[in-house]
Amino acid sequence: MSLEANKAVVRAYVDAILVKRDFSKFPDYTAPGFYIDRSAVPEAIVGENALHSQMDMLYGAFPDLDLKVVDMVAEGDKVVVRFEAPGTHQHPFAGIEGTGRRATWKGLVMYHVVDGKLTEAWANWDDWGLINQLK
Amino acid sequence: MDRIEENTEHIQRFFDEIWSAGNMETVDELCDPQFQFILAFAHLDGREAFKNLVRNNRRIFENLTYKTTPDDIVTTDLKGAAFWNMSTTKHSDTWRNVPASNNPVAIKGMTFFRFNEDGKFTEARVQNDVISMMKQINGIKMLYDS
Repeated sequence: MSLEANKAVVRAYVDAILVKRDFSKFPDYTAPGFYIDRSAVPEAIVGENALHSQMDMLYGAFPDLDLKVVDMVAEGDKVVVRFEAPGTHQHPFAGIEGTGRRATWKGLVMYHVVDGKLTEAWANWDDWGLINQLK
Repeated sequence: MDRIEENTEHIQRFFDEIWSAGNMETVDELCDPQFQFILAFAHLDGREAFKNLVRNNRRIFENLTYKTTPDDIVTTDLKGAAFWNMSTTKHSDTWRNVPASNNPVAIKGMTFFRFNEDGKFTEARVQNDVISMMKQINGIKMLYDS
């Protein structure tokens, strides 16, 4: 797969799964066993249901979350995405009741793409910065 | 060596020579004078501000070490990114208002770089696991109490 094809798979995954949350398309973009190593969470997020729960929790707290790809770099079988996700904190998040505040969550994620499917992701999201914006 | 190989080598040196060894000459060699270092909680404007941060963190965190490998580095002509592991044997002075815990710390993080046409770093945006860091130095309570 070319670098452009790998980037296209990542963009399609972000749009379908992370933004539109159409999990019927999860197998289209991810290989069996796909997991996300989320440094802030002790155990990796493994499979469709675990990611679905995470995204429901996030959009539950920030219903208008606008997850955007703001930069991207790819080499070989890896694609790195810089995300920014502004949203309004309307319901509890990390033990903090909804504040009505606008906050922006930022993150960097490295995806491993094999034969057109995502096999792994290593994610660093700024949870500390997000919580600070809610206080 | 082509530009991509050179950028990969420069990212490796950014962690090995600047962060792990404290070599300020490498900052001058690899970073543009207007280099921007952007953290979750700080935006450092210029090469000298970045040097001060490196010196300060290396004083606060004993044996500060950043590890990355070519497998963890992704580069093109003008952009790059790296996944890394940071460790220190002792948090020995106040950091982000958290007094010395004397604890060892290990966290993961990623940095997204931009290069200029001459191959110098112009920007580095860092995302690291600050919550894990705070847990390890007994600072997590401050986030909710402050």
